[in-house]
Amino acid sequence: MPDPRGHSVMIGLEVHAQLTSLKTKLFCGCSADYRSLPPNTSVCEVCLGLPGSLPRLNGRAVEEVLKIALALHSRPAEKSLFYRKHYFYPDMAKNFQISQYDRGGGVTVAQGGYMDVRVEHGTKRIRVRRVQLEEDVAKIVYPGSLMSSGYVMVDYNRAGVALCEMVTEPDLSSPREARLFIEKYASVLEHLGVTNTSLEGSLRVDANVSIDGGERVELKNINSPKDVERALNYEVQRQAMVVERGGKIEMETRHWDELNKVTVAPRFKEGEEDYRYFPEPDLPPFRVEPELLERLIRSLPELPDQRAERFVRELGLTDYQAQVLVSQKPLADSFEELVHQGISASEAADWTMNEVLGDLAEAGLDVSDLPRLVPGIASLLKSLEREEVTGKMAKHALKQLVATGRLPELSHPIRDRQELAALVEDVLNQNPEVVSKVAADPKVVNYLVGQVMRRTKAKADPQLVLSLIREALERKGAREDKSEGEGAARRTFNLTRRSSRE
Amino acid sequence: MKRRGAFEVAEMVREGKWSARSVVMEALSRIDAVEGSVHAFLHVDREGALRRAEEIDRAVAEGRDPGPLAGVPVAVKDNISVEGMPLTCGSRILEGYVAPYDATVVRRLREAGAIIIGKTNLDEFAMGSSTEYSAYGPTRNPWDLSRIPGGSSGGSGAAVASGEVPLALGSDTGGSVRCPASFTGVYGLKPSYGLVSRYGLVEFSNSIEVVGALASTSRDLSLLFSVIRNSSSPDPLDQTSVFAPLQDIGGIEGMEFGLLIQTLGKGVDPEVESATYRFADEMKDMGGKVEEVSLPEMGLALPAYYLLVCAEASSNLARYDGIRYGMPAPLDARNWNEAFSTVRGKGFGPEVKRRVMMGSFELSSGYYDAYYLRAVAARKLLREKMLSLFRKYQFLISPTNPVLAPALGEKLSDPLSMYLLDLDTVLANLSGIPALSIPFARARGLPVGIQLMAPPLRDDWLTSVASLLELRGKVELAGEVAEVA
Amino acid sequence: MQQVDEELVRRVASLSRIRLSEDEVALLVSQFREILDYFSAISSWELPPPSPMDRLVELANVFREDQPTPQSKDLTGIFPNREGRYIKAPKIV
Repeated sequence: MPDPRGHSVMIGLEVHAQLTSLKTKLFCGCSADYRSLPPNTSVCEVCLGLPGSLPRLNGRAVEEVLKIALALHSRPAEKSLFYRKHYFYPDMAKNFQISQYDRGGGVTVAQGGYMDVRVEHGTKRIRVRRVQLEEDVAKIVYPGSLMSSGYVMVDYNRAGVALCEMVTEPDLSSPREARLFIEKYASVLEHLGVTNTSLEGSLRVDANVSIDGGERVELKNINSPKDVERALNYEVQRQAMVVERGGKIEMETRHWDELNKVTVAPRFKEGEEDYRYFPEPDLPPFRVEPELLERLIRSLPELPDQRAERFVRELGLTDYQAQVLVSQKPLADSFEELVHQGISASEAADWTMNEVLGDLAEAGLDVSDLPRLVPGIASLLKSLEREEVTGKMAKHALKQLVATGRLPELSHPIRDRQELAALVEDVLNQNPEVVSKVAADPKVVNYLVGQVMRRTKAKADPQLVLSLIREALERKGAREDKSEGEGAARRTFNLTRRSSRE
Repeated sequence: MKRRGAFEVAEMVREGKWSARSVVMEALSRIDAVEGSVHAFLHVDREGALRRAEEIDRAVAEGRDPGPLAGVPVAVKDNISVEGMPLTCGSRILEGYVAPYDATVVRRLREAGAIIIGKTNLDEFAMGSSTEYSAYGPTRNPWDLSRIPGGSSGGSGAAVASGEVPLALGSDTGGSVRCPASFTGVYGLKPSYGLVSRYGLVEFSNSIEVVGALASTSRDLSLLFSVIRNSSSPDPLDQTSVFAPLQDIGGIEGMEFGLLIQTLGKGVDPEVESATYRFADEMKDMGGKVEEVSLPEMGLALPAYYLLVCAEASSNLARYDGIRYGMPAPLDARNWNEAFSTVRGKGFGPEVKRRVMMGSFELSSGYYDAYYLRAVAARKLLREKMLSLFRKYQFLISPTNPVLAPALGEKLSDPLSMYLLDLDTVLANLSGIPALSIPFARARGLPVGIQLMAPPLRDDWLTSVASLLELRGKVELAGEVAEVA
Repeated sequence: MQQVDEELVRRVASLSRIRLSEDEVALLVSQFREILDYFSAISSWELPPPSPMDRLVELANVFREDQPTPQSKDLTGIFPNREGRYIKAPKIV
């Protein structure tokens, strides 16, 4: 889909996903659960690159990356090996990264593959170029801002954590498509159980962007999937402006500045990026045995597409509903749990998609917070089903559940006809102008309903209130029938005046 | 001057006849006597050694098994990680770095009751054949203090040859254990690649280098080797390691020896050449068959070797940037690139700079195929040729070095001439096979080492031959200690 | 045969992050020439095509269990420049 300004866009993505399911790093036994630790605590001679240390390959990492390859219909290589990728940077313990390479005889864990993504007008197949395994780098902290600090601080807790790098062909045609792709990929990773994408830094994206068949610009440092569309939008528009002013896009690398929301060229030319790849002598190649592959294929969990299909087929959801639910695993999990607890699929889907998501956002929470709220939601929806609460009350209670984690006391709606009728009378008497308009504009009845609801702190049964109001209006002669015309208006007026005298 | 070997020391200590403490004291006193002249050590750990000796003595007194190397002082080349001791690799760039962990071989030595007495001098990052490239000053040959001890494990060779310690560890990438062994008149074993764990050996050229053993007698050598090698399983800390059970050869009747003709003749000192032929005669005397054999591909070996090791060195030494350990990176540099360049410019010596830069050049785009890849192809060819030779022969013979120990300073002005010292030794590294330098002879007062090579994982065959030869009294310098005038 | 000149030496020095003095640059030009000349002997040989999988020892699938083996030592003591538990490093830009 061309950019609205009339340019054709090509985007390829390079996605790095941490294999957060692993307990240890890729090449040493340090704990990979580093986020809550003090700096430089989960480190050893290997991930610090101390003289004389040697890497030790984590066998489970190979399995996790193969699962990703299988989910992407990517071809696992029979034999694969590691390469050293050299560049100097303070976050690099050895000033080379142990990674993989797909040229000159190098073989990555898997090659080829694809992922189908729902885009605006149907489904699009995005091709995968390769899937590979590599180690993560340390974290650099700037005391102050990037520009002003006279030094940086480095924490190697993250150095050596296992990453899966997945590279696509430039099949994406818009920033929006790219976002949809990333969201789908994140859901696939979640369903596989290899990455908990709600963890900070667990999913990082680099992109290659070109417009109108021109040179591609490499965009780095998109650290949160949420930023993908924004960063790409900026870059596409930047390139379009350059071209429209008669300029030419040069091949370059830019960084996404998430603070200022712009892409910037690095301050100075770093010189050729010559990675000087060569095979890692300290690690033997690894062969993917057919038995391993079979076992992995057999034990592959249900992936988003299959799950969505099942939702439609077995639970009667619409295609759209199913796609929204499987787009995030905790969402789909919570929905299924609600169904499991006896809530009808349509109710569960409706509430999950239309109310819960919004409430979560409002409370500053995440979809990953949803599963623990499921018991409360189930109980609430059951009350609703039994008509023990009204829809409005339920929505209100839901908001509180999300915000506080506890379901508030659910009182029964007020259904006492006498009590409500008295309130209705009261409201009608206090709003003569509104009452008089009822004939002309039937919708103002809602205002009257609203007034009664306010007085009962939303606890009245709104259906009952509406019918009581209609009855009262009937009695007082004020009809919602426009055809009465002037006579009706006069009668209304008389009605009002009389009631105000009483 | 004869010495007490490791075997005897261990036996006596285990039996409670000698105290480990007295052994260490004796070693320390010899070190005090000769170090001023020899400079084999960069670091001597007196307190640690005496403390460990006391532990050994206590174990013996309490009836606990102190291990097969109980009380034996061992010197470790300063590119092997010993916890609590400096690890300089003979370089300024690692000044101040104290290793926080033990190499696997060091751990095994400790578990065997050995006492790590100190770290020995080496060419910076093991790049060199004379120990003159050490940033901390050269080591001198105990047999002639005006000469080099060989390199890069010159300190280890000199420490054993001068009687400071009976056993030492070195590393061998292109001959760095065998060359000093030959020049200082001790045994120097380069094991098969993978048979000894590399965990804790600072990397220089990791696809071919190994930890090696130095000792004065074949019995001592075998003892040391048995402790450090992987006999029953690979080392899980080194995923390129293998294991092989000990395999004695028995006698050598009927065994076939190939004498490599390319290692003799032009450029070889006539004394060295005649010693090599005498060695061949000894093999015949013991019932072996000796034939001259030609390996034309030898001309390929040295260029291929240097191309390969420079490339790997440029990668392995990239980590030295003053950020995590060692000489500090200047924080007031304009940016990190400048800081790195400053540290490495100051911290690396000229030979290291030469090799690292050569290696970066080779691996860079446009040159990778022409240089690095060809070096790898050459290694493949040489290995194939060596293995095919071993289909006929059980052993190959050559001199360890083509010349006698040169004078200090002689080779320094021309890097290439220094490289040529490795002519005969790089073959074994490039093919991954085991090789032993035997302190067979003396010429013009200087030691002459003869090199024996065997098929992969047949390391024990080498020590067996040495042992047989020594028993016949034919290894001239076995057990000898240099006076150190 | 590769043209060896000052520009090449400087470029390689930059690639290697090694600062050289002017004297060093000059010396290295001639040394590089000599060494590369020596290496060129290798181009006259017929060599088998190498594979990146080639190793001196044929090994494959050496794996480690995914079990933590945390080490208890505090390694911050080896850092040359420190701030608290962080490594202090020169600024990037």
